[in-house]
Amino acid sequence: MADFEPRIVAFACNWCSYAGADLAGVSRLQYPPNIRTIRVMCSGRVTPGWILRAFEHGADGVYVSGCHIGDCHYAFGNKMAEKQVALAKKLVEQLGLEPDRLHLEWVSASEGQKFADSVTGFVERIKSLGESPIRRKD
Amino acid sequence: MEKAQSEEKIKKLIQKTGAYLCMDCSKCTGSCPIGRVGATYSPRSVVQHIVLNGGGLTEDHLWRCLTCGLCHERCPADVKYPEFISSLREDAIARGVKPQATHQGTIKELMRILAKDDLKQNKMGWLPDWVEVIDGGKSKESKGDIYFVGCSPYFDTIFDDFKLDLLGTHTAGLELLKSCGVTPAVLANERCCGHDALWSGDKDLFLKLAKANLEIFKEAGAKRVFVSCPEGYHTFTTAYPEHLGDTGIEFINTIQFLAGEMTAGIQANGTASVTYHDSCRMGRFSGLYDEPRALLGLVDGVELREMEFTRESAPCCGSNLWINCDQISRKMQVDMLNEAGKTGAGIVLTSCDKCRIHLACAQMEMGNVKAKIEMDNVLQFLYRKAVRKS
Ligand code: SF4
Ligand code: SF4
Ligand code: SF4
Ligand code: SF4
Ligand code: FES
Repeated sequence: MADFEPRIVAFACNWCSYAGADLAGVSRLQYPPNIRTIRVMCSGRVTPGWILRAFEHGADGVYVSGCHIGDCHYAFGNKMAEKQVALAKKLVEQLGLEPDRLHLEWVSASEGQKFADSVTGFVERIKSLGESPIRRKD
Repeated sequence: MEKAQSEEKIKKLIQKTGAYLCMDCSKCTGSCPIGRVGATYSPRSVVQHIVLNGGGLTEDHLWRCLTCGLCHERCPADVKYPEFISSLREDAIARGVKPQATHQGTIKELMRILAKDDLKQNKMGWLPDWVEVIDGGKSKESKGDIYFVGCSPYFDTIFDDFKLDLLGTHTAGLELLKSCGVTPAVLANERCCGHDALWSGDKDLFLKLAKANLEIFKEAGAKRVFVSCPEGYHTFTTAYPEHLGDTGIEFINTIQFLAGEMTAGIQANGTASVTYHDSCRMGRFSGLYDEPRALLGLVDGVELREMEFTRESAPCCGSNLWINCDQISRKMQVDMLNEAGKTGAGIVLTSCDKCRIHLACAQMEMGNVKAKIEMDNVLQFLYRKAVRKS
């Protein structure tokens, strides 16, 4: 397992976290290359179905990020995200995966460093959890 | 080549479902609850179209049917329309056409994960203390008696807002069985039975789930498996043997079993007037009309008030298989609840908790339902509201 490279799906809100990730990039901040970022218009758009789908397709972890509470472009999208991610976490746990494989983080457009740090932390966490038990054998 | 294969398959399904016997009477279309509430859905014309042209259905034709079986019930030529449409779905899926999943695919993805090999589920935390949970290996105490829980723990999470206590149905089922001297074990890694995958045409997924379940049942030394979910019961007793041969396991419907074992004179906590909704998998598909009524009849002080359309003619709860839920579904649900309300009963009981989910969803839209009526599962009602006379 020493050379285990986690496959992580990251959903990032267009108005904040995606820009935060961009900022991390242009500021040349280092973070591990394990995430595949999917831009969404709001974290509230990320449904438990999408999260399960990522796991079903072999993700070892799923990272959801949106604007800080109070800053959502659509007022309450991130409140929805909180609820949806909590529901997904419960399902993930019932399915026998570690709930820590799913993570929600608020990252604003100016927080390039925070994005890099939290992704680095998440990748470390998934590394210590190891491969997802339902990862496709391919 | 692919087209020829598909043509061959369609010929076979016309044979198998008796569609070639259709005499164009349109009883099916007249009976179809979807048509009644406003959609232009005609099983007759779908049958005619396929028999004459061999293909070319619109997506609406393909996915709208609820497989409720009312058309088949009334068809003078015994055309098995629900099987007919789901075989066409199978053919469509093979060509890459997919149904619209409700709940943004949450339930569909869940079923796909439940078909994975290396699964260690963690969904049985709520069971009564006496129930043995088998996680690999044979049952120690249950003598081959197993209770199948199904997807309720997941639905309980997803539909938490509805406050339906979907797990209470199984607690009740298990406790009532125990009161009749049966103490089944449950299997930590049982899968979804595959009902929805099968009827929405995803045969591969159905087979994966079914094989995984049979393997787990056999490993545990299951002889009798008690099932409270009507869809699960119907799937185990008909689809499993049809697709995988004799299972060597006796699948028992919990309500049917209890109706045979329990005796009259069960005292209720107070009186109640109830009405009963025949779900399609319990009623038309499994023929269990009398058993839930008999069970309710054992309780003193419970008055059963029947709705106008019951048993073979019972309406569908409006949504099935977690595909296609729309205004038509909602209209059917509201109509059904209003029918239940008209009986003057205080509670509508059902044996299918999925019906309860869809109907509760309709009730959440306040104002939609004129008659406010409580809802419960037969098993929960019996267990909670009635105590056995000792
Ligand atoms: S009820 Fe049966 S025979 Fe009549 S049109 Fe429908 S499928 Fe054909
Ligand atoms: S199975 Fe039910 S919904 Fe489908 S065509 Fe027949 S009556 Fe209509
Ligand atoms: S029939 Fe439905 S509720 Fe019952 S186990 Fe299967 S999918 Fe789940
Ligand atoms: S009626 Fe059923 S399928 Fe439709 S939205 Fe409500 S719970 Fe979902
Ligand atoms: S717009 Fe960023 S979370 Fe809603």
